[in-house]
Amino acid sequence: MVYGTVYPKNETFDKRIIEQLNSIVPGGVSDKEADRIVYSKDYWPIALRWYLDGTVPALPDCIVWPENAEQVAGIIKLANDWRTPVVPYGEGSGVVGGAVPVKGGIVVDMRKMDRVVEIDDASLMVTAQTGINGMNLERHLDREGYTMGHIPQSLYCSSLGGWLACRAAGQFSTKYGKIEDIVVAIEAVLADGSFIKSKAVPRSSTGPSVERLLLGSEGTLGIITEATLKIWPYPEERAMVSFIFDSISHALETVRKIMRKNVYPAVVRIYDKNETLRHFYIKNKCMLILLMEGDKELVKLEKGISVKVCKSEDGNECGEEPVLHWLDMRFNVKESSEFTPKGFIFDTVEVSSGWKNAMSLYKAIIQAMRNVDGVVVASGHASHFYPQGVCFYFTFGGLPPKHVTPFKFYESVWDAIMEACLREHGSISHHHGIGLMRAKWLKEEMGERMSILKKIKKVIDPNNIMNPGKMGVGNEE
Amino acid sequence: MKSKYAWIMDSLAKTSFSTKARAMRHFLIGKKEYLRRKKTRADMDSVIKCALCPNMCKFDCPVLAAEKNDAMSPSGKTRIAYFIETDRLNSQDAIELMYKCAGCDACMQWCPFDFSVGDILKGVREDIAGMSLAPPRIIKIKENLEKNHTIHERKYDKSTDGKGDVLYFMGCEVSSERGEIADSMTKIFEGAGEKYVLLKDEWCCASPFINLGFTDEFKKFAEHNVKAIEESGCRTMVCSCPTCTYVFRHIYPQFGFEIKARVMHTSEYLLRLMENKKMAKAIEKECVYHDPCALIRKLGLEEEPRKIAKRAGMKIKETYFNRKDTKCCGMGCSLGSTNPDIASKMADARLEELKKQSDCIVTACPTCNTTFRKGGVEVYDISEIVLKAWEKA
Ligand SMILES: Cc1cc2nc3c(=O)[nH]c(=O)nc-3n(C[C@H](O)[C@H](O)[C@H](O)COP(=O)(O)OP(=O)(O)OC[C@H]3O[C@@H](n4cnc5c(N)ncnc54)[C@H](O)[C@@H]3O)c2cc1C
Ligand code: SF4
Ligand code: SF4
Repeated sequence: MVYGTVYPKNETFDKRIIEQLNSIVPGGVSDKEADRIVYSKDYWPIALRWYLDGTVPALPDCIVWPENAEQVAGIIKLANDWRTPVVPYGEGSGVVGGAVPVKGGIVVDMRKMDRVVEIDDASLMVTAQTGINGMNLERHLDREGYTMGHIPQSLYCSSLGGWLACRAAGQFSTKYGKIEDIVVAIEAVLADGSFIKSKAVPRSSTGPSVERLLLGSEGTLGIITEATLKIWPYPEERAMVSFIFDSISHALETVRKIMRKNVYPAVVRIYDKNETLRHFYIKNKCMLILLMEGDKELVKLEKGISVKVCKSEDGNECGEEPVLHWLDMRFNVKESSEFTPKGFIFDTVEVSSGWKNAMSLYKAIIQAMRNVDGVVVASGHASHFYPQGVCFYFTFGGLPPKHVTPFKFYESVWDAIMEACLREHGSISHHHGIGLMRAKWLKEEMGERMSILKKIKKVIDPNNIMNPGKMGVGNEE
Repeated sequence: MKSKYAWIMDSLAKTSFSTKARAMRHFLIGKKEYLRRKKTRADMDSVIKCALCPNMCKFDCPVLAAEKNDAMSPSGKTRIAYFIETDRLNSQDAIELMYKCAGCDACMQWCPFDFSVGDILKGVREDIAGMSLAPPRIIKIKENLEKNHTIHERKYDKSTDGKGDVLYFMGCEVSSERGEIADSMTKIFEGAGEKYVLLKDEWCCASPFINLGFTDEFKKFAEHNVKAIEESGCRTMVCSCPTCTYVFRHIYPQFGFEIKARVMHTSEYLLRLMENKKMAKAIEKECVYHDPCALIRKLGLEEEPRKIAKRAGMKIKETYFNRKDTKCCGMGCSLGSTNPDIASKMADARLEELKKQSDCIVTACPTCNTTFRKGGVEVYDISEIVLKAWEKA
């Protein structure tokens, strides 16, 4: 073994744990070196650079593959007995280090729990185990004539459990909602091994919904094992249209006006000048693409209203072509593979803002990124919209200056973005979550709510075994 | 401005001179740091790109679906390959991982770089063999093939004397398990009045050597086969096995072995042969067609077998995962020999899918054929379909 680890190895792990895990999940445990290396990281971009340099972020002590909720409970109880960390793992596509086992311990890969339990056509709901891969779930629905409408760019490489745990948002979310709007019921095993399950009803007024605490908990409170979600009949019609504007503020203003009319196109995306050049090869303009889908008549109406607003705001119509191009390229993820080996450090950071502060937040963050020495690319697009505001998705890329380590450079850009976002009254994450990267900023984001979150964590997970070191909610920081 | 990097150039133009200079240097030489100093058979540029990918094809990898271990996902394997190739890792489990792939090219269907991890790993295995790290059981597979000249035992004992226009290269699976396919083909040749040849000393096309990283042995077999093919005097060479077809057509030339005859898969040959021939309905019941991964993804033969079945009066049912979305039967890239457990789980999964449509399967690969038979279904090769339809007419 001639590779290093960034986070210290767990020296206290007792091999007897593996034996005992084997009796809970017969044949479903591994401490093989190759497996531990593969489960040492998620898709946190800085980890890719470490990896190329021959360093893995953090080695888990073992990986276990439960097949049912009882086994999950057994694993968690055992981990409590040994006070050893448990790190839930969906597909490892998280981009903020959420699934990195920084304290070692047991990685619980949920992939064997990937069954579609039921499709309820009358109530338009699907129940599935959370280890299911997103595309496999969508394909299952597709062949039965439905869609979930939750299509994140990571559809091919993320899981239902990961979506719920990170509060993910899909590319079609302006119409279908984010994962917390789509989920109806949750089944989970909590950090003390107890089992909770909510009812698959559209709503209930039965006090605070305890199970919803798990949405966005990133594996720090328990493991989500099953969920019931909304589905839709496969859309009968799709309409696409695009417009270019002279400035991003103009494009944003246009979409704000569309949203005020209670029109919800499935896909709405506005690219700033640099990203318009990057994706559509048009210089000095800002592209807006719109995609409407669903019932034929409704789509026609939504398109008509949207086009009217765009025109009245002096948008220049560009037809379907840019939308088709986007559809074609939307899963074409190449940048990390192409640029990381060249020493470039790239990442994306998503934040949200009310309309009132949207433009000042956009400008402040772009400027903040540019101010960091070594940054070459600083751009953004807006990709999820509400009548109340917008999600901005920023990209930065650059080269660490001389005498600055890659991580230091990376952290400096992140710090600059987070500071600017908080200053401009934005929320520091719209859908990627907190993980390791945002942990130190959560306190400022949450204010007093953070101490309540910590108290909740303490009650549910007194031994701090669930995904320790993440979100800043444990007692180890 | 329709350049891939215009957006970066545009941004770069706004930076300081020193940043520009550094960026250019990184662009030009940055990557070299990570490539192995030693010469590798593996394409390290692809290994690295794939290792850094978020695994965008993993959902469709049948090995991952069977084993549910991320280490066996496409990018999981290339991440470990990178560590092996850069001398950071040589543990047995890491080496073993490099053989856990069916070479089915499902990954390629979704890959933004058009990579097939199956192909990438062939180079890695060659390096592993070169570093004397190949597991003993892999070496045993190689040695057995060297000794027997065929993967299994040759049971089909018919051959022809003299030369002919059409050489039927039956391949290891037909010669050991699926003799009825060879019988169908010879009857068709006879019916059509073709002067055909069956080699007395047919050696394996040698794809297992390529799969497992033994190129010297591959070359030895290729030399034998090219000579035997040439001596047969054929102008057309017909293979039942899609892998044989692919290897003769595309891999032999890569190693400098040119086959002068036109290499055809039975589906291409039979479609042409039967163009003007009268055919009756081959089988009464509705059957489901299984696309063999090598036939559809390596050779792109999508319509040929379907057209044949149609000409033979059959209505073919389709699975949801059909054509390029097919699922491998598990036997690709020697996985059946190297990891029979994984292969058999893959076969079960595919069979379950096919059986939902029909318990009568039509396919165009003898290996898929044998694999599915174990599931208690009826399986027909397209050559058998053609023969039935023709005999009935
Ligand atoms: C190319 C790419 C594109 C992306 N696009 C989007 C996008 O469009 N929208 C978006 O929202 N995100 C996107 N992401 C981020 C990522 O895909 C999401 O955060 C996703 O929700 C993570 O799912 P996963 O299954 O991979 O989770 P993992 O990375 O395995 O885990 C993420 C976190 O969730 C926890 N967790 C996982 N499963 C469970 C469970 N069953 N119970 C409890 N905790 C669990 C883990 O412990 C960890 O803290 C993208 C990522 C990539 C690499
Ligand atoms: S084969 Fe292509 S899509 Fe699949 S992991 Fe490798 S680079 Fe990514
Ligand atoms: S070739 Fe097939 S088995 Fe191999 S990695 Fe790609 S999808 Fe998986």
